[in-house]
Amino acid sequence: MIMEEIKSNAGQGLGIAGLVIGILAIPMGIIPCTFYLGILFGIVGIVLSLVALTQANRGGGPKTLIIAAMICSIVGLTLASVWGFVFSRNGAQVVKEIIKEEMYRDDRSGDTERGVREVLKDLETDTATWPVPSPDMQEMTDSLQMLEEGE
Amino acid sequence: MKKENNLNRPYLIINLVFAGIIISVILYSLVFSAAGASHPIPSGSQWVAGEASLSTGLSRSFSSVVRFDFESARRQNPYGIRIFAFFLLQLLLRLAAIMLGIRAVTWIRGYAWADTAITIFLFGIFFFPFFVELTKQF
Repeated sequence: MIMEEIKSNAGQGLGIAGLVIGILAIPMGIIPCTFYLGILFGIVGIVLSLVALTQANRGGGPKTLIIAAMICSIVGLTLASVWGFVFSRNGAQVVKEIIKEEMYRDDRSGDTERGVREVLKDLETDTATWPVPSPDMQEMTDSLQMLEEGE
Repeated sequence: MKKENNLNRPYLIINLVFAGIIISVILYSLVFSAAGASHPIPSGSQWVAGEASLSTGLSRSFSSVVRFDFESARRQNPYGIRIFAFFLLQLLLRLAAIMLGIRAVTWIRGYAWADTAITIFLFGIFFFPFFVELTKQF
């Protein structure tokens, strides 16, 4: 008489899915361009492993594969999160630089505005005595007036 | 008392899935060319930080490799050929494992451990220059 050893397969299907996704999360997490996929796969892998572990505990199924799945998912998620952090920091730095540049430009334009007013006042005084303003001077006056009007 | 090898089926499924994924990567590289720059998967680093990273151009590099244009592959990304070679070797290992899984050999457990060790070793070898550059980013 042949006796077959009956072993429960509870949680194995989800465990396999979790392991595949967890293993994929590792290279995705290492490669900087695909870090967002690493985060996604890592989270999905952990969730699948947890569900599989619960099923295995209830049904008395083997847990080795599920634990491997969880470890791979956690490693993948950690690596991907490091990249996420680095890029967010760099992204924030870029945004800060843009804001700083804008503020500097605003500050400078404030200076220019003050300068424009002074130049215009001088020009009015100077050109009042001229019979005909030179074309260059006229152009400059027009540009300065446009600048002052904010055009 | 007959003891069934309970590793065979999950190992076969995992290898089938990975072989499918690697074949999909190769097909993806064949469909989208490097010249067209039409790869639909966006670069995360460009997306978040607005800057190119060490892996920028990897998909284009793979597209060049599958067209045997190794010079262009190197230009697109210097690590592209090595990483593609790793995936190619992995495909061979997965296909070998599938064959063994189908034949249901009794020593599959030993093979699975050897496969894991070889994969980790190859991963280290092929990704080493990439890792070295990565550490400089911090």
